[in-house]
Amino acid sequence: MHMYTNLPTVMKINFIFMFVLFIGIISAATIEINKIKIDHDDKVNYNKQTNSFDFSQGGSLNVVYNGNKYSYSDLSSVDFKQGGATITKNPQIVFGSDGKIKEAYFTTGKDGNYALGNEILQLPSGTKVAYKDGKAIIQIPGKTFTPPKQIDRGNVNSYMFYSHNDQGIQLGEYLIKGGLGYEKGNYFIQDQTSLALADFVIANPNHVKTYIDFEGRQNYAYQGAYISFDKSRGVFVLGSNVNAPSPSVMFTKDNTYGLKFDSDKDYFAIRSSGGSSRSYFKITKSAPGIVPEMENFNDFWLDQNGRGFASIDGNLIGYKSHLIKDFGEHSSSSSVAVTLSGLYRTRNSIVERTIGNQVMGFSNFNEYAFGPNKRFIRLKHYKNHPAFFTGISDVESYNYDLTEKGFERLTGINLIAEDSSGTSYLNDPKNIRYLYDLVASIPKQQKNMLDEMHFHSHTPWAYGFAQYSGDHFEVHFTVGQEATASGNRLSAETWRHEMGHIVDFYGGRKGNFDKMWYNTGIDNKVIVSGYAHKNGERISEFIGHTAFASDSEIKELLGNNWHQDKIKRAAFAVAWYNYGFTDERISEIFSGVGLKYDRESMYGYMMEVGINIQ
Amino acid sequence: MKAQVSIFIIIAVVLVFGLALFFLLRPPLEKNISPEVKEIHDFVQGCVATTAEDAVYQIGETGGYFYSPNLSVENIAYYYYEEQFFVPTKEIIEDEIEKYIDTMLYFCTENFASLPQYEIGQEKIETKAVIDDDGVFIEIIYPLSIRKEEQTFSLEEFSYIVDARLEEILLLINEIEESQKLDTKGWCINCISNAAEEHDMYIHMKDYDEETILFYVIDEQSRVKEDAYVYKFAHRYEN
Repeated sequence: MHMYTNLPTVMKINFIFMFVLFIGIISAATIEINKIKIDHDDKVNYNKQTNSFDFSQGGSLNVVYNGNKYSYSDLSSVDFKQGGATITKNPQIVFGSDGKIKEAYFTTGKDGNYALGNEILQLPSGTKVAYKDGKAIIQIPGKTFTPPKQIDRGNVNSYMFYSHNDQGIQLGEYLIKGGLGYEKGNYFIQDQTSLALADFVIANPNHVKTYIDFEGRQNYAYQGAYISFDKSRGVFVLGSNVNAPSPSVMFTKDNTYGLKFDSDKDYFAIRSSGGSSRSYFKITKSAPGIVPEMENFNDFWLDQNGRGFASIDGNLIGYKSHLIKDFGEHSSSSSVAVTLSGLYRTRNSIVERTIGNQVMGFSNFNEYAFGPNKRFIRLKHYKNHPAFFTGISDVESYNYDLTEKGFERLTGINLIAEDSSGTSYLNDPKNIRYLYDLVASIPKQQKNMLDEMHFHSHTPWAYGFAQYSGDHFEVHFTVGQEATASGNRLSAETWRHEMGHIVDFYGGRKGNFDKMWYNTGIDNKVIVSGYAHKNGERISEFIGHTAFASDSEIKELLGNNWHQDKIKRAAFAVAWYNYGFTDERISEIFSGVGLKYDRESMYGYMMEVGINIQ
Repeated sequence: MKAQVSIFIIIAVVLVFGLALFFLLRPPLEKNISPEVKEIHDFVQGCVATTAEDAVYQIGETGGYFYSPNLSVENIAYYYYEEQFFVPTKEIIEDEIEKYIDTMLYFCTENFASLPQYEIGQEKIETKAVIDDDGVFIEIIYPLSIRKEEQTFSLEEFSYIVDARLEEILLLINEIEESQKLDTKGWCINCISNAAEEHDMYIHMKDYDEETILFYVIDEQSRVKEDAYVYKFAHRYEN
C-alpha cells in the first residue's frame, strides 16, 4: 500500500485496470491473440483464462481475419436435440491460442458470415450453432447451406447440418433428412439409421460415416464408406475405405441402373465389406436391351430375393438366406437379372481378378450360373439332348420379355402362328424361352439368314420343313397336339435339321457351301441316317444329327475313329465354316476326340480335302 | 561272337515281351458255355446287365445307397447336414451296389419262370462291385444248377461293366465337400464350377426347401441306361 501511494496518478489508474483484468472480468476492450484483434463491447463478458466470451447479456464481438471483419451480435442461447446429442448452452465463443474460434454455442440473430475455427460460414438468422474442436453441429432454418470458405491453409471443420423440424437439407436434387455432413468439399451422412435417397434406401444402423457424391465412380480418398452414383450414366458405386462395412443399400423398382423388378416383391440389396485394402461394389447400366453389369473389389454381400451371395477372399459363396437383414425378409418367385463380370481382390498388395474370364449370371427366374459367355451361360441341358442347353443370358428380352413380340424384336425373326395350335404355342412364355434357346444354339450368322418361323397344328410334310424364295427364308414346324403327346414336335433335332436346310439354301458363308460339300466327296462319307440318302437332305441331316449329340452318339453315327478320317473331320470343318455350328459347339465336338479346333487347324482339315480358304 | 550273343539276347527279349503282350492284351476267352444252356446264360447275362445298370442308376438317384439313409430328402442322401459331413466312401458305395444286385437280380430272373423247359436250381447271389477309372466293374457269383432231359449243367460266374465315370464323380464330390469347408453356411460357387469343369461334368443345383439344396452331377460321357449319368446328393444349411 505504501508503494501504491507513491506511484504517479496515471500509473495508479493503469494498475487498477490491470487488477480488475486479472480478477477476470472487464468491460469493452480490444484483445489480441496471436496477432488477431478481437473487439467486444461491455455487455460481453470475457474470461481471459479461458479466452471465452459470454454473450448471455447480449453485446457484440468483432474479429478480423485477413482484413475481413466478422461480427457476432444478437446471439442467443442454443438449445436443440440433434443426431443423438442434446445441446443446451448460453451463447458463448471461445478462442484458441491461434486466435481462431475453437468452441462456440449460439443462435444467430441476423444473417451474416461467421468464423468457426479456420472457416467462414454464411448463416441466416435463427441458425443454431454448436462447435467444438473442428466439429460443428448446425441447424439452419432453411433447406440449403452455402459451403464454408477457408480463412487460411489451416485445418478445416467437419459439419453436420440439420434443418429446423427436420424438413431436410438439399443435396443436389435430393432432400436429406436426419442430417447432412460436409467436410473438405464432400458431403456425407452418418446419423440416419435408414434413409431413402434417389432410387435406393440406405440402412446404416452402425452409423458409419458415408460420403455421397454424384460422380458414379470408386474413390479411395474418402475416409469412410461412400455412395457414388450418376443417374445419367446409370452407374452406382458403394464402397468402404475403412475397417467397417459400408451401409447396406436396397434399390427401388424405379431405379436408373437397369435393375429390373417385374414383381413388387423383388428385392436387391448390396453391401461392401471395407477392410484394410478397401472395397467397392459397382453396378453399371448396360447398353439398351442388356441387363446391368456388376463388378466388385474385395468382399461384398448381395441379396437377391431370399438368397444371399458374398465374395469372401475372392470366392463367390452362395447362401440359402439373406445376408443383409436390414430391410426385413423378402422372397419372390423372380429375381433381378444381372451379371457379375468382374471380381477383384487384393492379395499381398496386388490386385488380382479371381474368377478369370468367368462371369456369374443371374436370371429373372431365381436362377444363377457361372460361365465364360455372359450372353448365354449354360444352366442345364435339355433332357436327352446333351449339347442343347437352356441358360442365363444378359439379354433383357430373354429374362423379361418372353413374348412373341419380344422374341421378334431381339432376333429379327418373325413368328407366325398358322392356326390355333400355333397361337397357343406362341402364347406360352416357356415356349418362347425354348425358342430363344434354339436360336442361342446356332451361330449368329445362321440366325440372320432366317426371316420367319411358322407354327402349325400339323405341317404338310413330316414335322417341319424349310423353304425360300429369293432372299426370303422360312422354317415351318408342327406344334399341334396330334404330333406328339407333349404337343411340341419342334424338337431340337428338327430345328437344327430345318436350319441346316436354310444354311444350305443360303449358301453358307460365301455361297459355296454346296460346292464345298458335294464336290469334295464329303456327302457320301457322312450319311448319318436313312433319310440322308434323299437328295437335298445330307447337309441338314448331318447338322441336325450332330448338333446336339454327345461324343459317343457322334461315334455311333460316324464310327469310333471318325476323327482319323480326313473327309469326316473336313465335314465338320466345312459345316462350321459355313455357319452350320457355333465355335463353341465345334470345339466340343473336336475336343471330344482330341482334335485341335483353332482356326488354323480348321482350315487345315478343309485343306486336306482340297478346300483352300484364302 | 559278341555280336551274335547280342542278337540272341535281343530276339529273346522281343519274344518274351511279345508273348507277355499277347497274353496281356488278348481279349478274354469267352467261357465255354454249353450250347444246351446258352439260352439260360444269355438270359441271366441280360438280367445282370439290366440290374447292374439299374444299380448304378439307383446309386446315382440316392447319393450312393440302395436304401436311402435316414438323413435324406426325397430319397437323396445328405452329404452335408448343418455343418456335418456324411459323404459315403467309395467302398460303401461299392457295398451298396453289391447289395442292390444281390437283392434285385432275383426280381429279374424271376425264378426262371420264363424258361419252363429247364429245371433250374439257384443259390445265393454274391456280387463284387469295383468302382474304377474305366467304369463300374460287376462280378457276380450266381450258382445255377440246370437240368434238362437227364442232363445237368451248372453256371456260376457272370460279369458286366457299367459305363459310368463314378470314380471321377466321387472325386468331384470330394472337391465340392472340401470347398464346403470355406464357409459352413454357404457353398463356394466358383469352386464348384471350377471342379465341374476340371472333371468335364455339369453340376445342377436345385432348391428343395428353405434349407436344402439338391446337387445333380451330370456326366455326359457316362452312359447308364442309355442316357447321361446323373448322381444326386443333398446339402442342408442352417439359416
